[in-house]
Amino acid sequence: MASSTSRTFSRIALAAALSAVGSLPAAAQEPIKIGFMAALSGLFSPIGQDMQRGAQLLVTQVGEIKGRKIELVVEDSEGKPAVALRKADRLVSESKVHALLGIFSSAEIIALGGAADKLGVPILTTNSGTPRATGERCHPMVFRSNPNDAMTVRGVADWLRGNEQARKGKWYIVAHDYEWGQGAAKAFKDAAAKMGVSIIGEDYAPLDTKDWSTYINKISAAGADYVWAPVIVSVVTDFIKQARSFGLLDKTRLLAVAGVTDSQLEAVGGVADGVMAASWATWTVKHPNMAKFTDAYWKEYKVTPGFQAILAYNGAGLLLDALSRAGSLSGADVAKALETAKFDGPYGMVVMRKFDHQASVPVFIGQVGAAPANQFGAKWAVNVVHEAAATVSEVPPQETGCKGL
Amino acid sequence: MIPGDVTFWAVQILNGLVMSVLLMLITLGLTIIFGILLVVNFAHGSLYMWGAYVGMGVLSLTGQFWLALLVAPLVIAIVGIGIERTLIQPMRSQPVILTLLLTFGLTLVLDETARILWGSNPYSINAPDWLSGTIRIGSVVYPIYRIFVIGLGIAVALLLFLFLEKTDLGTVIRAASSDRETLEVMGVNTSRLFMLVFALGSALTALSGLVAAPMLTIYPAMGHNIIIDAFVVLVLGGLGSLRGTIVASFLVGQVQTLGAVVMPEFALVVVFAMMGLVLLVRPRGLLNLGRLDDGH
Repeated sequence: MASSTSRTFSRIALAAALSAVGSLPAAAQEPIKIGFMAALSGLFSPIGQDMQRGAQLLVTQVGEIKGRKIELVVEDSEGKPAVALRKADRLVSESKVHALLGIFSSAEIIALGGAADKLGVPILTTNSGTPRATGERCHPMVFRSNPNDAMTVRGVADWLRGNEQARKGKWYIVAHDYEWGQGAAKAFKDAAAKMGVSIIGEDYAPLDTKDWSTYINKISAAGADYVWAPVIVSVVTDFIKQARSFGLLDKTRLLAVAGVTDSQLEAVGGVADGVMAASWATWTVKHPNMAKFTDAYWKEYKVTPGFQAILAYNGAGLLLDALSRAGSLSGADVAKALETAKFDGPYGMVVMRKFDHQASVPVFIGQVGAAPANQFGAKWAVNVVHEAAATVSEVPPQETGCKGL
Repeated sequence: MIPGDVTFWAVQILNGLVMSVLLMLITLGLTIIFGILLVVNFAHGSLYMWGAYVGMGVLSLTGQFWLALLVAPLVIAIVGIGIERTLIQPMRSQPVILTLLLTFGLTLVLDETARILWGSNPYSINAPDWLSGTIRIGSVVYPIYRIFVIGLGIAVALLLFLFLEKTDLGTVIRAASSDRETLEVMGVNTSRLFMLVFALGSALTALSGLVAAPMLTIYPAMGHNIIIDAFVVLVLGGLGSLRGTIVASFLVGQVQTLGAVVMPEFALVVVFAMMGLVLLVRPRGLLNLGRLDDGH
């Protein structure tokens, strides 16, 4: 009893002493914690690692906010919604993070959005495509810094407007048969119908498809000029390799909707030459900030900056901007600050939109080809053939399915 | 939309054959190991993956694809011997379920080791120049490499049959599958026999992994998907039956590839439904030959 009283007293005395001192040196204060989640094991891990490197780079560069150190608490979601939910819960309840960042897939952000009220911290995805996350499922706590698929399609439509050959060509859709693939296929079909682009066939491949020869055969038999391929980025290179071996790529242009990951591009080399990518970012974008980013990234990690790293860097930028301006570190205050967040990222200014919490960002239409001169030793890269500015890719609020936040 | 022309279906059947051959090479290994050692080897898919990595290593050192085709199965056969001697052999008197769990654990170790050695970034190898490009047969244009895969698979299956039917060792192996005790009484060293069979099975799956590599991506978990299909083939063929395995491989390969055109939603279900049906009405497999064929 006595000891407990004295302990209480000493705690009060300590508190009084602290307030007398006023502000403490940075080291003595609790760090600002950001929970970072991505698929860091399994098939998706190369992408998850790129994401982690991108976010960590900015956190290292900025270091602290108002004297408080910023710390990235990393968890592996394995790319699975159920695991993401469990890890998010742990990050919030045990690690006491002030926000969640990263979030690899559409299925994960939809699942986390469903638990957002309970989690009580802002969730910012830098990598998931489904428009629903900021559309009909928009939520006060859910944010996205990468372009969503509706924006991708608007970017592609913008490229088609200026490219008569592609607009008049015969298109074929091969999509992965799940939420993201189906959504990206439908978005393209809607846009094509509006523009009078002809779609001559569509196929939906199971997620565990290894052999793409059946689809390649069908595309070839149909005589398609272009293929719209929302195929998961980790296996799209299988599709590309097989399409090349059948000679399909000699007459048909493949458009990889999720882009082509830089690490895989190096793995397959020239096989992917000429493949198009509706990319959300690429290190070949010509912007003064990009050179600074790639230099710092190379210095830190000695690997080619994959496009998912650029996206995660942007996401971290928006979040740190919000954390530095937020009235307090409460979930509501950080979310409020995120609604007006801005970041001058590797390819220019990224601005969060208050209406649906979707950042306004450009979409790059790229094509695989010889890499421009670089320090990474990359021989192949996605070179930008068309940039749809943020004002072009932006989906008007009334078309998002979100009622406003 | 289902295309109606003959060329399309000819290509489709060839596509089915390629899948069949990959499945056959993996499952033949599973089958002989099960038929003779009575071990369900879960780690078989990991050895498939290791075959691809080792082959990639040989290829990057020498630039010779045919050398990789020889060396990778050999190296994995030696790995197989190591596994059999240190893990499977001491477990022989234990219940089958324990070896099953053991090989499952081994999968985790082998996959993680591959990740440590080669990282989780995917690798890709290209078919050698002499197997690149396409060949025209009538109106059908088909990748030369895939024709090579079909030919190689058929050749390996034939060699395996000749070995089992025409050589003394093959006869002993077949005998071991039906009556192990008598064989031991006759003075045959069954322990060494088991080791050789495990090595042979491992070599076959390694060959399959390497042959698949120029078509697919090499990564630590590449064996996971295909091993499930291989187990379906194993059951359809009647556990331990070589002929059953071959027939089932061709059936599953064709159902999967043709099914993807005719009834895309059901192609996967059909294969598993077939497996369920076979287990119910024909537990010794499609050809009713469960355990290893006795040669007749």
